[in-house]
Amino acid sequence: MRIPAILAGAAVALSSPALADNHQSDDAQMENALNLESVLLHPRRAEDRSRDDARNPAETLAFFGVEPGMTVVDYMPAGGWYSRVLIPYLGEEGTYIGLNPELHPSLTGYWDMYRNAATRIPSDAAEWVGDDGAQVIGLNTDDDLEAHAGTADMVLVFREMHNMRRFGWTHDSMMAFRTLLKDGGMVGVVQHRAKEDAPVDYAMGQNGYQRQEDVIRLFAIYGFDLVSASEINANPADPADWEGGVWSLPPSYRGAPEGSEERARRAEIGESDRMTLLFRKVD
Amino acid sequence: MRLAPLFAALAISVSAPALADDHAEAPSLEDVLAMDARAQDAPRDQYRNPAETLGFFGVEPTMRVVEYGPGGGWYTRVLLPWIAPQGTYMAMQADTGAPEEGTPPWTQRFTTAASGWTGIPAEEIAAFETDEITEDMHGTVDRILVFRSLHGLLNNEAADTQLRAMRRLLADDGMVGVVQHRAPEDASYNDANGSRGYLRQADVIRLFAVHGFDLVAASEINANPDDSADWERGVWTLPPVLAGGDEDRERLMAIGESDRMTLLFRKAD
Repeated sequence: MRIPAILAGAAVALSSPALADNHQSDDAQMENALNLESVLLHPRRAEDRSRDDARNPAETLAFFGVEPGMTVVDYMPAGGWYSRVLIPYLGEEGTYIGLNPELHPSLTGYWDMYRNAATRIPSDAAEWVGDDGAQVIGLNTDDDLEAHAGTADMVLVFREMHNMRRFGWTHDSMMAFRTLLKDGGMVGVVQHRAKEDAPVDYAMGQNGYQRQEDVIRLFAIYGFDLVSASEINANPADPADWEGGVWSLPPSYRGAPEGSEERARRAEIGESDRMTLLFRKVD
Repeated sequence: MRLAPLFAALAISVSAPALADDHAEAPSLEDVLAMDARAQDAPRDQYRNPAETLGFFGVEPTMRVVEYGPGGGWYTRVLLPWIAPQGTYMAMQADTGAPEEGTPPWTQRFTTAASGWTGIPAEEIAAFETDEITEDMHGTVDRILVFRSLHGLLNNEAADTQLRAMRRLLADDGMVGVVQHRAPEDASYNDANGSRGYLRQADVIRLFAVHGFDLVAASEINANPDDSADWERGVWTLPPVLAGGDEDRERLMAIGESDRMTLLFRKAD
């Protein structure tokens, strides 16, 4: 049953501070929410949908103010869970830019999929959504970004701040965000959230969790003002101090074999506690 | 890799009690600041305030002290002769990669130069690049001093690596002292992103907080309210660089060196 999500999404959209400047009519916002709802109901998302309860795509995208026709940068699309929402939702008038970092030669195996974004992301996208929706562009941060400079309305960073930090991608990625964004463009961040008083050594990136204040500080240093924070993706049941990091929880269940009591306990907790933050690029 | 001098320095430090009788030979900071070898450096003391700054950072000559990014060696010529007799002086900088063929590595060039400045044998001076830090060095350093090099770090993606390395080097009660050109609080990102030398004090505090350091204290020792800190050519407009040559020279000399923040951080839990 998805009606509550529609209503929640629309309600968030109506009250979203990001949208306050847009002078959008209530009707247009309701139409966007309904558009998004039909994207979320598409059969291609049959497997993805089981995570909607944890990832709240309708409410999250509404809170960030993502609208059809925008140019949106999706930082590290990875398996494409959000791409399968964004590309169709942005629509034919929209542009979807998948942005990956510069991969150090020592990062291989799993990380190979982030290389050669210029060819890889459009080809992945074609497999994910066919030709339904936005124009798709792939970039690595060390590509020449000039052709796309100042074109993006928004950058979305879904649970990649810890990777930016632990692999040393922060600076180049932040600079790429600034380059790609229009003046006054926005950045939406969802990130596993460490406790406010988590030890520094726990929250430097290797456990997946970040302290919310640190994420806000990092964006401030790079010229992004916090506009608004939301608890849409919060999960107070997550102790956020797993020795094996955030991957202890679903969907990874690291260290909790299938059928074990521990796995059942973690299923009960659900996916991680997450912050949802909206920033604006400032001069 | 310059482990050899580092170990030499450690050995000296270990045998320090043997030197205890020779403390008469260990110069005070005042002695060092008055040394003839500093004749060319001394005119800048009025801007760089070495005695007050090192006092504020709580540096003692018996400590294990890392100077980050020694550059031309102005502070090396204070720190090395002061600390070497009783403590351990170490120079540190970001990994510079493989040197060009025929060029010795930075560590060797630095220790040779520092030996020339101070008369201390090069093989007794420790210098290392961040990628040369070994596990036995973790948690051993009392003070890391970062004199006006943070803008370069923020401007070229090195800040994260360098601050993580500093945190690893510091002893639990170790501290980092920072002097940095200061942008006005309300400076725009483009004026304060490091490309002009100036940073906002709040951003420096944020950067250290993100990397696990608490601000202990801030001082106005190195402030200069006459610096508007908005020079189109950046901080290099002012003395000692005077990037514009003779243009406006008199006015710029009257302003003096840049407005600077002076911050002391400790390692957070």
